[in-house]
Amino acid sequence: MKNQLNAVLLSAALAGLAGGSAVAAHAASQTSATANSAKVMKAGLRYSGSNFDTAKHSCKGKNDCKGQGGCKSGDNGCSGKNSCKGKGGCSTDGSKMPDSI
Amino acid sequence: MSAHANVSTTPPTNRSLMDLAALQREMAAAVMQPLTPDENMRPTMPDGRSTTAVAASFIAPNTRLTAFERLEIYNRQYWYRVLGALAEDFPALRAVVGNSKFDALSIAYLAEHPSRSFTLRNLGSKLPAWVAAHPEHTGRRHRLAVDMAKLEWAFVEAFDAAELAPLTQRKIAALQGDSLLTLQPYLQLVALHYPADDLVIELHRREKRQTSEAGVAHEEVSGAQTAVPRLRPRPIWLAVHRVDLSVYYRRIVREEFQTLEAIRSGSALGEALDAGFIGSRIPESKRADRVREWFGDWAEFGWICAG
Repeated sequence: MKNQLNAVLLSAALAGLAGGSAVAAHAASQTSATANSAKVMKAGLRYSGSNFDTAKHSCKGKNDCKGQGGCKSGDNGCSGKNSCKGKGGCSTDGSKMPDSI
Repeated sequence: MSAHANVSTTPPTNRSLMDLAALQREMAAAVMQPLTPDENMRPTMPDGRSTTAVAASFIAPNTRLTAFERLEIYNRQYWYRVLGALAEDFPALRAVVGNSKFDALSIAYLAEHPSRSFTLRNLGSKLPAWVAAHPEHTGRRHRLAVDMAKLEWAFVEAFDAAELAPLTQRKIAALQGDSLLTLQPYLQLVALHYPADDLVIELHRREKRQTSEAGVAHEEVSGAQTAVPRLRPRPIWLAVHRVDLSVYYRRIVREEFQTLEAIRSGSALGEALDAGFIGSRIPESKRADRVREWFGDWAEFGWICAG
């Protein structure tokens, strides 16, 4: 009985995969913006601000730039962190920052 | 001592490389040591040696700063950087536990799991498990804090984890009950105690708004405590994934979640279907329709790959 049920479920799974795969292939062949709209409707709650282009270029959201000198490293991460006060920014030899760069 | 005794059997290049490695370890140990509560470098190293003496052993002083003070700048910047990165990735966890508790939690976590990767992207990879094991750092809302940590880490993974080629029609036609399938690496399966997904999205939206209004995140807004509404506990099963380069939180039913987890853990297709319905109240007569629908959606999203 259990094997019979499993066989039915397996057939259903394969039918679902074939159907979903065909839908995906059709959507991929469409160039219109609405081609993927059904998929997006089912995708769930969209995480605002997670768009790759935005995140990649602004460094906000995710960490593509972390540790690679982008993002907040323009001031070497010293912004608002008073450790460098009186020591000339983040320079590690204690020299003063020039008045203008 | 004879001159002969000073000759090392190690080739000069290897010897200098070993010296460099030792120097790097020494420097890293000093730089990654937590700061004092006043945000200064600690006077003693973890092994009890004087930090002043350690710093003097490999850093020269100059006319303005001592060796200790020069090393202290690196020590501080390491901590400011990793703490900032963690706060940036886990704003919802921060909102749930509160700013001061989050700061203490971050220091304790990073002391145990310091940065080990070339990218700070991986910094929070162990945070969900760590938070779950340390209720003393989360306060009254421990389970919600664990949910938040899991959700926010799932976002990091879903955002930029690898994408494999999905199953083709030809491969689907060849599948059998003993076939092994693989899920997309970016697909994250998260079981929650609370309906925390919409709360996380709302908190991130607020964070983003504050950031764009303030210009720069965290430094300016870190003093503000974000209000978190009360949530009733309710089990939620979530698939965190991406579509068209955006991340989505998709609620799924427990049976669907269990089936996906079984596939991910290496069960063959037939076994995964059995595992999916363990403890299920879905009538047997309706299961096939559900399975067809789930697998159809998964294939449409491209979640299923060849094993």
